[in-house]
Amino acid sequence: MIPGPQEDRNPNLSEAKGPLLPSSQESLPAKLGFELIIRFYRLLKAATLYDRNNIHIKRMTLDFQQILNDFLRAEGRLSLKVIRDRFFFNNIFMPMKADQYSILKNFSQELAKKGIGEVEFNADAGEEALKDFAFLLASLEEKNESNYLLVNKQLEARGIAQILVGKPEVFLAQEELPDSEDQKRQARKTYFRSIHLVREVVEGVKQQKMVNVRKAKHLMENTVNSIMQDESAMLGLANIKNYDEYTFNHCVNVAIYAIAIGQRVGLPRKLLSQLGLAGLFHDIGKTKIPVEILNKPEKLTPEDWIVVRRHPVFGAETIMRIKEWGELSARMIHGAFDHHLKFDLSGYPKLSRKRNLSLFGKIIALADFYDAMVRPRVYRKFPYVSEKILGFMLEHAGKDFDPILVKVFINMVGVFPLGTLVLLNTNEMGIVMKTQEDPDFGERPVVCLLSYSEGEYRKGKEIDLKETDESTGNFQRSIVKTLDPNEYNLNIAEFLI
Amino acid sequence: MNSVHEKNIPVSSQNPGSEIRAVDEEFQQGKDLVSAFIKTIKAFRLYPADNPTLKGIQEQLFTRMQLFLKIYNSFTLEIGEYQFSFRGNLLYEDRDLNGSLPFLFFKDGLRELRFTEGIEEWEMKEFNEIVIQRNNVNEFEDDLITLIWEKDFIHISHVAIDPFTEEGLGLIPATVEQFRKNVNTDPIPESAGGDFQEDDDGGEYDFDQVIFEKAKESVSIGAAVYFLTPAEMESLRKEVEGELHPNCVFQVVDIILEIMGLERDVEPYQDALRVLQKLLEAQLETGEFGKARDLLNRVHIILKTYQLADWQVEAIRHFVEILGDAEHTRRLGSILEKETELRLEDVSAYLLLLDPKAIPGLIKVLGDLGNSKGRRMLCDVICESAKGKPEWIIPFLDDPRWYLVRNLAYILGRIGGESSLPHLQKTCTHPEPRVRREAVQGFGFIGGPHAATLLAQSLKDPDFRIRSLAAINLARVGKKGSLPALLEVIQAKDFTKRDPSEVKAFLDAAGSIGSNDALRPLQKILEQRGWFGGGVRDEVRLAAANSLALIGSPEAKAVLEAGTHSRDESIRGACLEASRRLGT
Repeated sequence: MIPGPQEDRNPNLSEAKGPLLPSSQESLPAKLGFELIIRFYRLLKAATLYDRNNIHIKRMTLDFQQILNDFLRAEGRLSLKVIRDRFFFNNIFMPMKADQYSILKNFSQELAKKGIGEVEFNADAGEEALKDFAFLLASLEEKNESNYLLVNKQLEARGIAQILVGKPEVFLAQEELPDSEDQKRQARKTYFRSIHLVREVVEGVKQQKMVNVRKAKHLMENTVNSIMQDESAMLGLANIKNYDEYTFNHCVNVAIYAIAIGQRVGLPRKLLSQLGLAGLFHDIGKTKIPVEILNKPEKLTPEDWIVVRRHPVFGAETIMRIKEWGELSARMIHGAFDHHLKFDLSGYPKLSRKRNLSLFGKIIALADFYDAMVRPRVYRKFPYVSEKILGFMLEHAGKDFDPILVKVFINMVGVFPLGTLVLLNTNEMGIVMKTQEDPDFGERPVVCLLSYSEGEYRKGKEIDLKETDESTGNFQRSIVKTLDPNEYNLNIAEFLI
Repeated sequence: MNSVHEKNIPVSSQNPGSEIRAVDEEFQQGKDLVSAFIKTIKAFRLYPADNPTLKGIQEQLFTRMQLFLKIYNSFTLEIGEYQFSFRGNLLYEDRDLNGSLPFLFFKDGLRELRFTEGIEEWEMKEFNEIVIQRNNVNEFEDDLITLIWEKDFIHISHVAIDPFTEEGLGLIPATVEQFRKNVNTDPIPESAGGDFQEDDDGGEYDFDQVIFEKAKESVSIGAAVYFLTPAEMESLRKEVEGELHPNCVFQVVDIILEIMGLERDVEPYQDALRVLQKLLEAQLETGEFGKARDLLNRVHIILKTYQLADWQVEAIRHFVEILGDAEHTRRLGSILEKETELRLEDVSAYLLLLDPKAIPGLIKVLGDLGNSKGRRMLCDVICESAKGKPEWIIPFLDDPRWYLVRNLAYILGRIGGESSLPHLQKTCTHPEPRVRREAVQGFGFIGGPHAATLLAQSLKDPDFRIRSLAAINLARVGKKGSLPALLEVIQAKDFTKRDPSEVKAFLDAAGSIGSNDALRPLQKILEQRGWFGGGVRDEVRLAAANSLALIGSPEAKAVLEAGTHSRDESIRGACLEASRRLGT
C-alpha cells in the first residue's frame, strides 16, 4: 500500500522515541502532526461514548476535518503510519515530545489493539465519511488481525474511496496486548514481588550475601513492560504507602515514578530498567544507619539527622561493594548519592566541587520527594493533598528540582493524581482511577464513586468526568476539591490494588 | 537427527498433495535457516568481528531469513532443552552441554523465538552478537532474556519463562482482606517520612509548616505546566542523549572523588579507590587520556589539599603507584600501539602524573612501541619523570635492542647532569653508531670538564659522523681547553683526506673556540700545496678559511687578507669567500 518509512531504522531508533525536535525548521508532521492525532483520537474516543448525531461528534469531526484538510492541501495526501509507538506522516518520522507522550502512546495502543497500523487519506472525504470511518474503527473487535481488511471492505461498500487502512507492520503478540484486567494483575504481581526483592537485597546486603542481579533485572523488566503498556496500573499501586515495611514500600514507589518519568523523557527501555533499579535501591544506604535512629517514631534530633543524612554516601558505597551490578553500578551510585543534593546542589552531602546532577539523580529526587510527601505521618498536622505538594514542587522548581522534570512529572501525574480523593459538585466522593491523556481534560479524570455502607466506604461505579449531559452539553460532574483520606479513615491503596 | 515434520501437516481435502509439498518446502527452508544460523554462530567464535568471511556468512543468513519471511511472513523457532523445532517438528539437535545452542537458549528460559517480515540487518546482526555475548556474561548478572529485552528489537520477539516468577508469590495479596493483614499500622518513622533540608543547621526542615501556609493559598497549576517550550525540549533531548553516550558512566568519578573527601572509614575508602581504579582503567582502554589525566590530577589535588589521615595518604599513594605498575604500563603500551588517533599531549600529561616507580614499565613500553611519535613522547615523559634519577634508567642500558639503548642515552643526556656521565660513557662503546651518537649528544648537553674529556675520547670514534659531532660538542663544552685535542686531529697526516663533512666539522669547531692558537695549523691547511700544484681540495681550503674567519681575531683576519692576494686561485677564492662572510 505505502512504501516503508524513510527513516534509517538503526538500533538507535529505539532510543529516539523521546523528545526529539527537528533541528532547524519544523516539518509539517512536527508542526501539525500532534494536533491532527489529538483531534483524530478525540473523535475516535467520542465515537465510543456518543451516538452519531451527538453534538460533540459533529464538533470533533469538523475539528478533525479542518486539520486534515490543512494537511491535504499542503501535502496532497496523508498517510499516518504507526510502528511500535513511533509515528510517521507520509513516511516522515514525527518526533514525540515528553508532554505529548500519554496521548500518543494511548492512541498508538488503541490502533494496535484494533489491528490497524496505517491510515491513508487521499482527499477530503467529507464530514459524513469521516464520521463513518470513526464509528467503524470504534466498533472493531480487539486483537483481530483481519480488521484492516474488514474496514477497507466496509469503506468500499460505502463508496468512501478517499480513506484506506493498512495492517500493523508488526503484529504485537497476544501477550503483549493484555487486557486491562491482565495488566492490573501483572502490575500487582510485579509490585508486591518488588517489595519482596527490596527486602531480600537489603537483608542480603546486611548479611553480606551475593545479590541476585539477574532476578532484579527480570523484575524491573516486568515493571518497565507494565508501565509501558499501561502506566496507570502501576502508578495506581504507588498509592500503597504502608504495606510491609515503609522503606521497602517507598523504594518500589520511587522506582515506579522514576520509570514513568524516564519513559516520558525518552529513555530507551534498557535505561528505564536501570533507572528503576536505581530507584529501587536509592535508599540502600539506610541499611548502615543505626536501627534505633532509623525506626525512631518520635521527632529526630539534629544529631540524628546528621547520621540519617549520611545515607546517600553510605548508599553509593554499598552499591560499589556489590560487584554483581556490573555496568549498572555507575547509574545506581548516581541514584543513591544524588537524590538529596537538590537541583542547585544546596542539599546533602555537601560537595567539594560544583557539577551537573545526573539525569537519574534528578528523576529519583523528584520521585523520592513526591512519594515521601504524600504519605501520612504521625507528626503531620495538616492534610497533604497532592495539588499542594505539586504546587510546592512547582514553586521550588529551578532551586530544589529540575524545572523541566517537574513539568514532565506534573504532566504525568496530572493535577489530580491517581488515588486522589475528591469531592464532586454532586456531593459525591470519589477516587481518581485514571487521568486523562488529553491535557485539555486534565481536571476531568475518571473517578470511582464511593458509597458508604456497613460502616465503611465501598467502591461504586466508575465515572468519566468528561461526560456531558446530552441535553445541555454541560459536564455531568466536576471536582469541587480534594480531600484528605485520613479524615475519612480511608486507605486509598485498598481501592487501587 | 530425527525428522518428523510430516506429523502435523494440515491436509486440505481439495489438493492434499500440493499442501504437503508446500509445508515440506517451508520446513526444509526453516531447516536451512537454522543451519545458516548455527554456521554463523560458529563463525563468530572462529573469526574476529571485522573478518570478511564472517561478514559474508552473516549476510548469507540475513538474505536467507529475508527470503523465508517474504514467503511465509514469520519464522517461529521452538526451543527445547537440546533441540530447535518448527511447528513441533525437529529441526536441529545438539546434546553437548558446552556448545549446544538450544541448551544455551533453554537454560536462560527462552522457549520460542519469532522473526517477522521486515527484519533489518542490524537486528539480525545484533541478535547474533547477543548469542555470542551470552557466553561471556556473568551468570549472576545477565542472561539472554535480558539481553534480548534490552535491545528492543522490532522484528524479533520471544516467549520465555521467568525462572524467578514463582518466587515471592505467596506475598501477593489476592484480596483486600489479605492486603489489610500486611498493612503496617505502626507510626511511620521520621526518617522514612522524607527529608527536605532547607538550611545548614542540621535540623529538619519544617515542611508541615510550609504546606500549612500553602494550604491557605489557592494553588493554581496552570495549563502551561503541561507543555514544554522548544528550549526545554531541546535541553531534555540533549540530556537524554548524554545518558545514552557510553562515556556517561564516567560521570560517577565525581561521586567517588567526593566520597574520598567525605569518608573516614578504611573499608569504604578502599572500595572507592578500587572503583576509581576500574574507571580510570576503562578510560584508558577507550583512549580517554584527557579524562584519565583530569581524574588523576584531582586525586593529586586531594592528596595535596585535603586534611587526610596517614592511612588515607598511604592508600592514595598506593593507588597512584598501582597505576604505574608493570601490568598497567604494559596495558598502556598496547593502547598506545593500537590507538593511532590518540592526543599525545593528553597521554603525556597523564603519564607525568604517575609515580616515578612507573619509569621501568614505561621504559619497557618504549622498547616495544612501534609508533615513532609515541616513542618520542615517551622519551620526553621519562626525561621529565626521571629528572635527577638516572638510577631508574641504568638497569636497561644492557638491553640488546640498540634503539632502546639509544633512547635511554638520549634520556640520560637530559636528566641526570654529571651523575649520568659514567653510565652514558658505557654507551660510547656500543657497537651501534646511533647509540654512540646519542651518547655524544648527551655529553654535549651535560657539559663540564668530565663531559669534555669523554667528548675528546669520542674524537677517535670509528664513525666519522660521531667524530664530527664530538668535535662540535667538544668545542662548545670544553672551550679553549679542548683546542689541543682538536688540533691533534687537525694536524694529523691524513686529516685533509677525511670526509669533507668531518674536516669541516673539526675546522669549524677549532675556529669557534676563537683562539689564535689555531692560526698556524689552519693557515697551514689553507696554504697547503701538493706536488704538481694539486694541494688540498678546494672545500678543505674553504673550510680552513671559514675557520679563520670564525676566530675573527686581527691576526686571523690578516691571514685571510693575505690569502686574498694569493696567486693561487684556490687559496684566493677561499679567502675572498670567507672574508665576504666575515663582512670585510
